[in-house]
Amino acid sequence: MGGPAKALTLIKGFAELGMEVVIIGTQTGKKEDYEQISYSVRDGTVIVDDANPLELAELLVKQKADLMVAGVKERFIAYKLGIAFCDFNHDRVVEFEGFDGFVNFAREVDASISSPVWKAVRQRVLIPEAMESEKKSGRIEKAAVEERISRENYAKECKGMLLKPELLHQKSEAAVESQV
Amino acid sequence: MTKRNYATVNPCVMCQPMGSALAFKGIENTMVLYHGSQGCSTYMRLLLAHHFREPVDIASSSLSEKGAVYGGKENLKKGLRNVINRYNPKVIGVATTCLAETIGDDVPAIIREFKEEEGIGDDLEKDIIIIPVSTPSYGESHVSGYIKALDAVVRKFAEKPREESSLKVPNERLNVIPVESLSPADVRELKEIFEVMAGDYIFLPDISETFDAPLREDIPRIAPGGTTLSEIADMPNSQASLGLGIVSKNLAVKYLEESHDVPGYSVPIPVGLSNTDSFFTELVKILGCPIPVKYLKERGRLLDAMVDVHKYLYGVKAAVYGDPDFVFSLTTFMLELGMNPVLIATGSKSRDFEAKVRQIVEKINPEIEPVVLNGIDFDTLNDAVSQCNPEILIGNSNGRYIAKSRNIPLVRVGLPIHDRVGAQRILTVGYRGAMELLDRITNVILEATDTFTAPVQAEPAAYTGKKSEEECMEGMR
Repeated sequence: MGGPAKALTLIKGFAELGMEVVIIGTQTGKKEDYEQISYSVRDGTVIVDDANPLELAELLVKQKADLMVAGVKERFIAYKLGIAFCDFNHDRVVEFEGFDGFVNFAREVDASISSPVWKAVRQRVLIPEAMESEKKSGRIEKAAVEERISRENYAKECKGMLLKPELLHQKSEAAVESQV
Repeated sequence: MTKRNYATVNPCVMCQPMGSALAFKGIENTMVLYHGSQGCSTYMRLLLAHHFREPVDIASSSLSEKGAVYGGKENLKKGLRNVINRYNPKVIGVATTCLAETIGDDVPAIIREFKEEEGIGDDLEKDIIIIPVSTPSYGESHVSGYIKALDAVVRKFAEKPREESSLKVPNERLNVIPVESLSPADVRELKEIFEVMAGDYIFLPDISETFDAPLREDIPRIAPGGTTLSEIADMPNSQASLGLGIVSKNLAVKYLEESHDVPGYSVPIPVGLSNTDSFFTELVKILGCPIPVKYLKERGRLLDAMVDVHKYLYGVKAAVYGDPDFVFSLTTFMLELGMNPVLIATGSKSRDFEAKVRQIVEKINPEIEPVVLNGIDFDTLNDAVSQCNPEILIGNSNGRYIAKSRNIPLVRVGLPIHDRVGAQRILTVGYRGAMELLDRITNVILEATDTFTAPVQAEPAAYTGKKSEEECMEGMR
């Protein structure tokens, strides 16, 4: 995202780094700019004009992007999706211009993509192994519901639930009855 | 690095009696007495008072030359009598020091004799309980002193039932025993988690009140709080024990498992994402209840925070030092954040430390090759820091001279922290602790690099900003 000149430069830059552009867009581009952009990207690349946050989020997921290059407003859209982000806006203090600048850029791209936090982010919710099989049978959801209703000591309520399925069964039947 | 094996210069550990005091002070109505010369008690009190900013009373049998030559029996008895008269404690922990161990006083025998003379019986409920623990300072470190004292306490209260079969009354409680002293804030956080997850638990030792006491109208002689004695006595009946720490051996958990069939589980001290994950996973396995929504939300917030700061921390070279298990957990967290822990050191002589650390490095980031040191002093650490060139130090206050001389920042965690306030409130465990630690580390790095928007340093010489400014000024003149 940014102006058309930046977009064109970055297409070349990423090609030199061995990366592939899957979405490209500008906020201020004109028709001719987009024509030029369309000549320099490969088929299948999505070209967007002045996209809004919702469109961007959707596209990032659809195109399976690993990295987004834009300004600070877009940073947290990418982060929430678990996608790396590189700031290429005017409030940067590290230069990306020239040979040295390109090294800086490559370094920042590396830091953005290679950080192990993305590995951690892939597992967004912690579901301990012991409970995975239980989740399928819907027992965990029940536990959460019960907790909300009773507001009693959570563990006391849930304690032994997973260990003694027959006990739980009785409980859930009782709950159904009372609802009726 | 110069090799010196003839002396220790500025040790990176404290002594075993110090560790035993940290353990005993987490037990209800307990007084500590060091059997040895008075300096032992004085300096440990000084150190602990600096760190926790609380009164720390430790009695001493105050051996002089005479005691050293003829044995310390009379002094110890007199000391015990004084402590009972003055403090009226329910438990007295008697830790030996170098002197007492060197002259070879048989402390358990002296205590037996003392109890006979004073008519103190063996009833755990009615009588004063005196727990001896052998902690010569020339052996190992404060970490082992802590572990040994907890082991001695559990053994005293949970002595092998004579008729092994009948006495066990199983309950649903969970024992929790750390291998290293955690801050009062950490203990509070863990207790909160157990409160919600387990309901019924026994945390030994609980220093959350005794070493971080509210100001009150009366001034009790022994700070209220700590693990109650009935709880400790109930530990053999619990459904399981959870040891916090995997590098050092948790003797108390092992004892309960071997002698009382309480299954023992050990997880790393829950500092950082994956360590806290395995902590909760283990709890789920033991207790059979799901993780509360509150903590899942905290976990999500931690992930969000980790993503937010990942560029500031990526590849930042760090040196970390302190107690073995805490350093292990800190290292895991740093690796998860994408930092580069170039130097990982502990002052304690720990057999498994290097293997465990290498294992976790191999698992998370096999590309880096950190220097891992074991049983070091600060002089060796200084040499290692010169060699590894870290951009940030993480450890206790004693590393401040190294940080200062190299002009790199120091993030203070562990014990002792005597040159800053708030050591008792530093939270590092759980998802919330990880978040706080993460903020502190990141802000220290931002402060040092003094840039707001530049996440990655263009050059590794990250801290030369000041110098170049001066040069500029000179150039202008």
